[in-house]
Amino acid sequence: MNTLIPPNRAATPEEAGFQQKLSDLLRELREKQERNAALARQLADRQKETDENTELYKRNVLFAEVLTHDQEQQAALTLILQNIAYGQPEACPTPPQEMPPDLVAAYTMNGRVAVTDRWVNDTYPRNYPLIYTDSEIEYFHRRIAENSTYMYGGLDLLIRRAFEKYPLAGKRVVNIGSLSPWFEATLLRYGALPTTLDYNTIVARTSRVKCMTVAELGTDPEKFDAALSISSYEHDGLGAYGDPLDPDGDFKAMQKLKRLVKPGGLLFLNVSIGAERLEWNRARIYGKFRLPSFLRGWTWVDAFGFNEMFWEGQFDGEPVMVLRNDD
Amino acid sequence: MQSSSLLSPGTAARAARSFVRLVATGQFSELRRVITAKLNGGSGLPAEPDRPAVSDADAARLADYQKAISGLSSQVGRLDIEYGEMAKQFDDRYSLSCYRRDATEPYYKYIEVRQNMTLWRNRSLIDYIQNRSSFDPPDHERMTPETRATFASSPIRSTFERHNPARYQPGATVTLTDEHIDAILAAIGPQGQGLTAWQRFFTERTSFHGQRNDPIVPMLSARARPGVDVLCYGSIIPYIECLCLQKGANPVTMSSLLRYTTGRIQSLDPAMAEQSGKRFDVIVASLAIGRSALGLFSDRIDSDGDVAALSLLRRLLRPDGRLLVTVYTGPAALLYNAQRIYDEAGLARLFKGWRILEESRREAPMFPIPAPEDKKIPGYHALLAGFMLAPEVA
Repeated sequence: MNTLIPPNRAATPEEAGFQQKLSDLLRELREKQERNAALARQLADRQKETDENTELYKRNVLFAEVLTHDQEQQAALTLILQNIAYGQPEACPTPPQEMPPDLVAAYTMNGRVAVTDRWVNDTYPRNYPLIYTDSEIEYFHRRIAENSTYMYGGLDLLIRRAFEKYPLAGKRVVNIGSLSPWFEATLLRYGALPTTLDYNTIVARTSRVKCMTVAELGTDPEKFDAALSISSYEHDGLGAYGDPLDPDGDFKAMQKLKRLVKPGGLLFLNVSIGAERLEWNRARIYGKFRLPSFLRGWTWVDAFGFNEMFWEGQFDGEPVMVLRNDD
Repeated sequence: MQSSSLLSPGTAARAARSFVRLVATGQFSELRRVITAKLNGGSGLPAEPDRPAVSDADAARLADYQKAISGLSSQVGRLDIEYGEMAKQFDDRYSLSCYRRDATEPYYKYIEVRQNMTLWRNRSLIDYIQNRSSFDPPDHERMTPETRATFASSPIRSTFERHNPARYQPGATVTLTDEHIDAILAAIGPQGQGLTAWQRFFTERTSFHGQRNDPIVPMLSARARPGVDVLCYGSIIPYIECLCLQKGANPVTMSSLLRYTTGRIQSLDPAMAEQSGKRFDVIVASLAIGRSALGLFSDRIDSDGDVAALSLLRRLLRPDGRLLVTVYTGPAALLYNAQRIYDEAGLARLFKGWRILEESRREAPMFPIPAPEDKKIPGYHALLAGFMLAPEVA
């Protein structure tokens, strides 16, 4: 812009002011151009991902058609192996098919929460523990290094973003509810010391993960630096895992967790967010109404993958919320 | 708005500001002009707004500045709007892809991970039972460039790889007892009385939906009679063997995985099969041909492993024997390390030297949730195809 100033004199104050303004604007313009270009690149990557997804989709349709058959035989073999390893199973009563009439008002928060039917039986005998091994953890580490995801797909990417922003290196982290050592492997990958807490016993054939049952916690448990709860509390109190029926099971679990996490400690929490409903007996989907009560006592710090579109109810979201235990 | 009095507060302030500015910027010629003007009787102050009188050239220059500034400002504004639009698009897509990033449709992803999880459970249980460490070199997780090249030259056109597929360790075996055989029999047939707690648990949790839909089952039922020797190749569980037991036939399992403590089913080591001299009236290979030599059981990866397996079975078949094979048909594809899918050319290659006596194709069952119709891609799905084959006489 110096071209605007005659060569035979210095800039007038007004000209100087204009010059300053112009150079600020130019800098802002360049910064914003770069920022937009970066976002455009990310968008293009995502488009590429979508295109690749079409291929992945075809692949996965084939896999699903082929694997369901295989899966059934493999799952039958699991039952045989459990018999060989652990003997006869302890009784695990089938969860109730219908919501008990006297609990309907409490489950639906006096009719505010819709109920849909998605009954599942995820109970398994107490004496048939899962086994976590170094081998499986190593395998998961190789998958994580490839940026691969597992049961929850894109949610794994959000968890990694959360762990990058809120480092856990050297911290003792409790993982609430576990069906495979995937999240334990993720925690190890970020330098944390994971402890798995579940209702059922888990056999840890690895020194890297500590496994505890809720019963082993006792009345005055040692507190953890942080907690991870992925797709766990929305199932609490619905009976699908053989747990006792309790309309406020999720609220109570969140309050109990406060006693397990040090003051100021973080909770990385995932539950489904969407149109307010209870999918009996699979899970609760948290809407605007139940979520605040659910999070009571915890301070909202951050969220990953949280979008207001979720409230509109077209599809459910699976965000990672970061909460702090402030008292 | 020219002030009549030099001392009016606004004018004084303006004068002071002008003076300071002129001195500060070293423009003493301007200061001289103001003082001279004052001495000549005028106020000597610049006209409102607060700026010195300017020449036409200067005024044009300042106008240019303002034009440049407003031009840049609107460019920045446009960038902001563009950014806002892109960010919304990005967030919307991110939210949409939260679940769907891996598969567009979560159900399909779920199936694959579910199977991976089950394989790991089985592996960990086998290691626990055999009391050995679970150390595992990461072989077979990915196809090597060499194996990929081998498959590229085979008639299977597309290769679909999973992320690091799980597999059974070398030497992994499961030894089944009468309790397990009886539980499978109870799950197949009318449920017997006096089942153990585990047998009840097993029958409650196992539907054998896929096995019941296997197109070779009617072909087997028609031929399995007392005294008929049936070889079952590559079983994961002895379902076909138990069907044979129900019909009174004599089942033998040839699998790297299964062993028995019961005399009701025999097992045959694949490596010793030919030397054993045993030959069979019926050989059943339900889906085992498609997954042979893919490394799922830590077997050697070989693109022609399916043809090799069939030629071994041919040598174990009595001259008037029948081979019952179930494979997946559809777009030619290798689903490493689970299955091969054969198109017509692939079937022709596989069954070279065999006569097809009977054929039956049906939808590959998806359970517990069937594939949503609107999600199916035409031509992109697998059919279960059952064949009854007899060796061509040379």
